[in-house]
Amino acid sequence: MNTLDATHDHHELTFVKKYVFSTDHKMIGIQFLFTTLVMLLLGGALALGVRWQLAWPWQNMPIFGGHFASEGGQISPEFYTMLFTMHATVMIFLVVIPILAGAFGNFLIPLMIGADDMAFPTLNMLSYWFMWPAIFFFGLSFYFGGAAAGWTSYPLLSSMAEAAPGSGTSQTMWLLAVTCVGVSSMMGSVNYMTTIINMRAPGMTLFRMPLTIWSMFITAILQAFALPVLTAAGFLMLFDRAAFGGALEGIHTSFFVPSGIIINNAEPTVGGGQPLLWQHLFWFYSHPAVYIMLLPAMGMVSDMLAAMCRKPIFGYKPMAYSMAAIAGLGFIVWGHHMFTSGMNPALGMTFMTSTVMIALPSAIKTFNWIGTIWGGKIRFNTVTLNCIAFVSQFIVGGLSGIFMAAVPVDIYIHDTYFIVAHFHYVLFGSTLFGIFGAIPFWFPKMFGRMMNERLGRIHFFLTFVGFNGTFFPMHMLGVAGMPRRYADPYIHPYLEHLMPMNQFMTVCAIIMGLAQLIFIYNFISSIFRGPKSGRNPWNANGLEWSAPSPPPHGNFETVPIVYRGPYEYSSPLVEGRDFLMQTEYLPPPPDPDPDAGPEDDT
Amino acid sequence: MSRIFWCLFFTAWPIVAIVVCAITPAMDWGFPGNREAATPLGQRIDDLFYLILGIVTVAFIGTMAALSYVLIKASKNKDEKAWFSHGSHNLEVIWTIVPAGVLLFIALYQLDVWAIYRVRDYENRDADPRPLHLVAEVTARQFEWRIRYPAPGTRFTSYEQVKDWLAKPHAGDVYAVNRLLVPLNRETLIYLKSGDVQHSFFVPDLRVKQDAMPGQSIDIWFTVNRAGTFDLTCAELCGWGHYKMRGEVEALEVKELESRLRELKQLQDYDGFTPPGTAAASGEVTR
Amino acid sequence: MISRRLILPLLALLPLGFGCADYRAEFVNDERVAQLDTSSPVAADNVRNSLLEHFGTPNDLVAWGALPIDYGEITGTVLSAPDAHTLRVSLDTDPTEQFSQVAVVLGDATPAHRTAAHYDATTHTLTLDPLHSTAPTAPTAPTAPGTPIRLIGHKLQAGRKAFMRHCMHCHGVTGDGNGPTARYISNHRLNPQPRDFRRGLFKFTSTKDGYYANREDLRRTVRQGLAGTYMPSFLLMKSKELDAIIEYVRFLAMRGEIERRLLAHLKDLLPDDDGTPPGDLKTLEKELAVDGFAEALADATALVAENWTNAEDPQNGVLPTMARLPDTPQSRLKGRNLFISTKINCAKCHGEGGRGNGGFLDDFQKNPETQQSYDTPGLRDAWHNIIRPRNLTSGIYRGGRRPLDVFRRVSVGIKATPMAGFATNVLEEDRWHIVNYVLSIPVDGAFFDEYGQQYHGRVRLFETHKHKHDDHDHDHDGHDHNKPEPSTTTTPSESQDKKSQP
Repeated sequence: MNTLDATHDHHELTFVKKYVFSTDHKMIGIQFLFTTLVMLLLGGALALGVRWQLAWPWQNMPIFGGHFASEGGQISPEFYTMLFTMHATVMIFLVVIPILAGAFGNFLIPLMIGADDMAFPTLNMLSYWFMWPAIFFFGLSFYFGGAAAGWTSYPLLSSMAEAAPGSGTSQTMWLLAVTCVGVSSMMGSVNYMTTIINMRAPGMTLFRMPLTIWSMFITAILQAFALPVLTAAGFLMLFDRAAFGGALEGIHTSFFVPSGIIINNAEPTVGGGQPLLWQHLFWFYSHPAVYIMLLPAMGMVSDMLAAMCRKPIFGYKPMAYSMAAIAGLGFIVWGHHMFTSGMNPALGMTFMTSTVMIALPSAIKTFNWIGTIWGGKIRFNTVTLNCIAFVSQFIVGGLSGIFMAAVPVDIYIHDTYFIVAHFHYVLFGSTLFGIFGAIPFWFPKMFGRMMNERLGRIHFFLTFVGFNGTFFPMHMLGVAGMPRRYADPYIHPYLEHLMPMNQFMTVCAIIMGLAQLIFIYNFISSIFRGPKSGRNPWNANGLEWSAPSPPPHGNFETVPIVYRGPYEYSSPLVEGRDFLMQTEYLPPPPDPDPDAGPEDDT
Repeated sequence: MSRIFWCLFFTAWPIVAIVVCAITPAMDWGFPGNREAATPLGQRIDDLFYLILGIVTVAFIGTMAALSYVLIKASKNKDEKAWFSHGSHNLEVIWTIVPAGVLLFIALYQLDVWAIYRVRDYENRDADPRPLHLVAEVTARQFEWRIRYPAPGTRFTSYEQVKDWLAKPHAGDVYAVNRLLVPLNRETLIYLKSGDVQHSFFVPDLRVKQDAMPGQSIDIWFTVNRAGTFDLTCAELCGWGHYKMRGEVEALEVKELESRLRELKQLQDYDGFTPPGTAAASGEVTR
Repeated sequence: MISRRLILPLLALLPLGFGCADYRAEFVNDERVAQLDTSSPVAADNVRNSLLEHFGTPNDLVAWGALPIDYGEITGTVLSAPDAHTLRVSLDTDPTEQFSQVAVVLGDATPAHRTAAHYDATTHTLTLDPLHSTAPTAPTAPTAPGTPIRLIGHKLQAGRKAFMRHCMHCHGVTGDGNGPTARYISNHRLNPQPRDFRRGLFKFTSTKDGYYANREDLRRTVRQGLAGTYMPSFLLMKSKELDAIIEYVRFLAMRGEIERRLLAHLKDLLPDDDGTPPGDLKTLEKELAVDGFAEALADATALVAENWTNAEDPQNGVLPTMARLPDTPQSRLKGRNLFISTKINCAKCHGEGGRGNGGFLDDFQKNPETQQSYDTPGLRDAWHNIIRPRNLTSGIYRGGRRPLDVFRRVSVGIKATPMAGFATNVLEEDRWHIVNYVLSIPVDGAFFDEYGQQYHGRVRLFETHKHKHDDHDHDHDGHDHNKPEPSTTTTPSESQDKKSQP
């Protein structure tokens, strides 16, 4: 339970060592934050391309149309497949996962548990720098046209270069990039688990950890167990490919390739493999991945809501146990992505049961959040608004998931826009709004300044309205039977009447996209010109708020001692204020036993 | 002032959502054609959908109302401190047991539909002696549906025969593309194959969907109980032409189906020769 | 000094600045026009301008009366002319589709052209567009009540719109088979490549040798698709849309052909391979590009128009004069024997077993334009793409699987490919025997034993082929492959030569 001895020298570090190849978890966290925010803009731009095509199919598309100037700005169908593939890929692998685990996990974990840095600082730095080969490979993928087999990358479309334009070198680059992201995540997860288990400050028992730490811990376990499967699947596909990166002759395995398939009038495949295998391996990782993309946000929102409502979190242990249950159940539900895939139908029953049960801990958490607000003293600022939006939209996302869990209904809505609505409500409506709340909340700790409140609210309002305008109608589109990944749905008679709705959604999406510029401006200008904050601008309880803003190398002036849990807001033990920090020593009440030690509520 | 605004904001948006859902049928945003499914299983799927919709709506209204309520109360709270509560064991128990019960109910209730849809027949088919209404083999390929019907009048009496027919082309087979003819009010069996990558046979009006896996031949069965023409689309990304795979499933009375198939066969056997003195026959598919 | 408050709004406007360029699709000229530019800009300009004048651009098409294209014409009479840009008209047929920017021809005796911007069906008002009138306008366009009026071009426009939506991404804006999908960045290109319309050549036709494809052929191709290729079936497309696309395809084909013929006329003006212009440039230029150009254009146009018109004549279609012979085992055996006979020798390309792996594939063909051998062995089509003979065991027939279709292939071959027609030297009844045999291969197999029994399916996986023009070093086993053998255990030397192919 001891913090590491300060093994590093306290001499002045060079610019490169301090800002570029830093091993300080705070700097690494901020590096992740900057990188992922840039990637967020890229992913958003790709999504706007998708939306444009759905609203005004085959019209001159802004920005991307320049690539097709000789066709009048009209994109081609394979370009569209690349747009949605890379949108999802960038958002999942380069934005949401790194921002939650890499940016916030890195920054907050040592601060919240009272450590001076991560257990393995150099490994931590490497986990950030492994993102850059990933970005480089994704860039190369774009250079060769961009992977275009969906972020799910199902073979044979993805594994045979003849099958789709993006399945040649682009797909190989994509696989290498995903491998790099996986390595980065695995490095991070090892670090987090070790740090959380071994480096908590004295008095910080497991059940005195903030829920953010619980969520990061559970997420790290998910990453550690699920990622190797994806990496392995990626290698299997690389070996299957005819040309390994275009330069070397292929290894020519057939893990996913059955015999005798002729694509693009090429030679028939030699085969013996099974495309379904990829789906199992891929979803074995990707389902826990969606919880990797959700749990940290859940943990952070819990902390923020408690602070903003000046109340303890309602049901701390049930919250922690629910997160563990979500993670545990998350490992046994992957088949619900495959109900129509041709796997043994009996598996449909087992996966359906476990999937339906995952709704339970999610529901428990939702009720507990509402319970946290209940009887509180709420202040409506940017942080609070985004957290309430998290809860509100998580309700929608969670409830829409129940439709899909019911297998017969899923037969109908699988691969329609209903699914798109569901996962955007949980990934964007919940997680990203949680991030939009977490950034202003911990910004003072990161940079010593506050973000602009007014801009934050305007950004929230526009994003919320734009988001719901874009994604709520997708539930209707799904029930109407509009399939996903269609460049021009309107050639189908039963979908023709849906164009006005799609146009409305695109306009909302554009408004939402432009609103993000407000956020970026707020973020950047506040770094330089925001009003200075003190150590604890929110009067919050966590250990991080007892450190200076921003914390120096080593985080705390002295080793913190933890006396209580993180949610003792409005505690009757103190007069005149409504928060009681974890590190604050209170003299014991007059007690017959003079030998009693500090408060101990394990 | 702004507190009232935000409380109203978070109360108003669920109301808007519910209103939008309520007007969905009237605006023709819901199920295709705003009609029930054209198969009995599809109708059961619709029933299940509405059941879940009902439960989910209750949960939605309940939680959103609770959220609004606590927001309003919390925003008006003038006390020096908030309610110092770490939770309520009783509440936790209640809101664990009740949702668990509801979810378990949903899970068990729909097992039957799934069993009928896929599992029961899958397990029984080799032992099942009933005549099999194999209608067609549909091969999904980039980017069309290639259909092969057995010779008109063929009756299959065992799965062995079916497997034999599926294994290779037979004399008398009728070939078509993109338009699938199926019998009305009779159980239809389709074998789905893929010519190249993964596709998915999706007929929204029938609530039928099955992925076509390369290397596999997957059976789909359904009974259409409403005459008409239904859109067929592909529901698994298969390349740049994924959206182009526009097909049609036409449900006809059995007799009419047979005569249409015979007509197709005739067109397929057209040799271009017109005996002198007769009008030239058209060799084209006109319907 | 920009006020800080302006930064945010300026940021918001940034995306607008990025993306609002107005791109217009343009026809692409043949690459030789650019080459011509280096030696004789006058000639190149003439080519470009005449194409522009007679065909226009995709957004501003020209309906040229000299070509046999159905542009879509609506006739009517002028009722009144409320002002200079508006006409009240009574049209003979109600246009069921929106159109705009169609050519308006007023009057009979001295027809004057305008462009119609909009037609309002409720008020029967035609709005003339004063700004985009590219055609010459008579000083006083006759607009007296009773003047006959013709609106020309709505079908071509509809065709262009539908073509850009459904076809352009493969076939290209100019119909050159070079759309974005055809040339996607990848290790592989579409196989076969989408058709380049600009030669006026289409492979699967119903017309005799030397004649073009007619509308029915094109319609069939679009409706049925070409099985086994990336040309999908558009069976469910509405007839009207389909017909409009066909007209537009013909339009693109004729444009390409006229360009090609003009370039052929000007070929002496082209620089040679290392860029040096021809010797007597000035004289040639005057003769070909200035004086003789108009005539060359007129000749090219007349020829193209005649070719396309002749294709529609039923007399030029290929139809059998006898019914298909009964599909009996004896007929098939006869067909088989003809298949492997030295006279017809289908096996030379299609292989002994009909698998498309005949020995001819190892030979180097000659490029008919340059008379040089191609670099790699194999058969080529008129666009110099490598093509393979059809694998007849697969049951996939690109041109159609009806007996009539196969009969046509055997009789006149496939235009623009080495698949020759045998109508001139093979009796019709023999051709029907071949048809019966070919159609039976996927079902019953390609081989007959000495008892006339057919083998089913794959007797041999590996085949050695007999090289009649044998220059290569191959290990051959000296078998006589004209006589099929019941079973073969392949020796290692045989399996080396496997060319197992679909």
